[in-house]
Formats: sequence, structure tokens, C-alpha cells
Amino acid sequence: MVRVVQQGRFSVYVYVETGGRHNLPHCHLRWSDGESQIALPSLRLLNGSVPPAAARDLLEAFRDELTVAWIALNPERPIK
Amino acid sequence: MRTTITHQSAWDTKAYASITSAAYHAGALTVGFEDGSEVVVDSKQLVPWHLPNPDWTAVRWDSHEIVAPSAAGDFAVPWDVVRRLTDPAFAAYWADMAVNEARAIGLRLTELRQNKGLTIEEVAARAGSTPAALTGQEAGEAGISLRAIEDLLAVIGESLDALAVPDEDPIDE
Repeated sequence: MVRVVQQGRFSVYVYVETGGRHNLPHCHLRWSDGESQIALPSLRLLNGSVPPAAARDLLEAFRDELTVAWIALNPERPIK
Repeated sequence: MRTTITHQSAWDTKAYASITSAAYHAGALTVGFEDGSEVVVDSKQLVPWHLPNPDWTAVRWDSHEIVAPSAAGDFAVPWDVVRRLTDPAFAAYWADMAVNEARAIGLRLTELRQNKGLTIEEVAARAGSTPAALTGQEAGEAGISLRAIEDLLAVIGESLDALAVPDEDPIDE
């Protein structure tokens, strides 16, 4: 697990992916009263709370870093 | 603008996603959640083959993840992995979302390639792939890693940034 972003009340984490044959690059966005999972690199909301607008801006700003972190942790995992 | 979630599913609730306990016994982890459910998962399913096995007897947890020490440092498993391995409905939802993402990325790859005036044959040759494989990837039918996508984008003179669709707000209320 790597915390890629820590800014204000928001943190974004990326994990080594395990669990089942289906695989979907994503990050975990956490803030004081919510959590959501966001697809990478599309930044589509997968599940959880709808992030506040400030978090969306943060995700946009760190899209590349988050995607690169996911690739580094999960280099050969196909999207399927 | 896109609305991804139109109603709240169990996995959108805090109680479904919050871990309240974790214990290891005889190769299995029993994980409790705030919604009162308790699931059992084979610890071998939690760790990729290339990583050292954690010492699950020393497992600890917070509401988001379970963690165990290993020779490579702490190994963390987030709540959604445990749920995907133990809740067929959530696993099916996740599979659907993965298919949707693969299709969306494939469509964007097609668009970017065509914008550069390149044929599938030209890109496949430059990427050391085959037209058939690339066709499947652009259709979202063939599994492709993000690293491979990054390589394909480089072949057509683009980067991961280009996968973002202009003027699209992917997260909508």
C-alpha cells in the first residue's frame, strides 16, 4: 500500500492488487467522513461516497502520479 | 457529465466497507465488518505469488484495511479485496465495472490512434504486437495492463494523460 497523496483532509492510497480474476486499476480516496474508490486513469467513481468537489480537483491534479503508482505496484495486471 | 451511481448499493455504505475485526487461524482470516457480517477468506488468496507471505498471526486492522508484517515490510489488504473474495454480488459488480473501463479505454485508444492518422496495422507493427491483438484491445475485449497501454500510447505519440476524455467530469452527483 502506498499513500500517494496527503493534502488537507484528503488522502489517496494505491494497493497491490489481489483478489479474484477481475482486475480494475483504482485508488482509495479517504477523507474525514467518507471513502470512495476511483478508477484509474479515468477517475470514474466506482463505489462509496461521492467525493467533494475539492477532492475531484485533487484527483485530477494527481491523476498521473496515482496511475504510475498503480502500475508500479501492479505491473502486469490486465484490465479485465 | 456522467452519473455512475444512480442508487446506493450495499457497497456504497460505510458499514459494508468498515472493518471491525480480523483474526487468523489455520490458514484463514476471519474478518468482521460494521454491518455485522463476518467473512472467512483463505490467506493465500490475499497475496500475489511474487511477494513474501506475511505473518498473518500478527495481523492488525483499522476500518479500511488489514495489515500483517512480512519480509518486504507491512502488507496491507484493503476492505474491498476481502469483500470481492467473499461476496459474489460485489465481485460481479466489480467485474462489470472492469469491463466498462476496458471498453472506455479501448474506445479512447481508437480515437487517439485515428486522430494521428494511424492504422491498426501501423500501430501494431510499431508496438511489436499484431493487428488482431490490438483490435481486441481497442474493443476492450482483450486483457491489457496499464503498462502495456502506456507503451501503446507512446507508440502513437501520447501519454497516459491522453486517456482523460476532454471536458468530461467523470465524477458526478
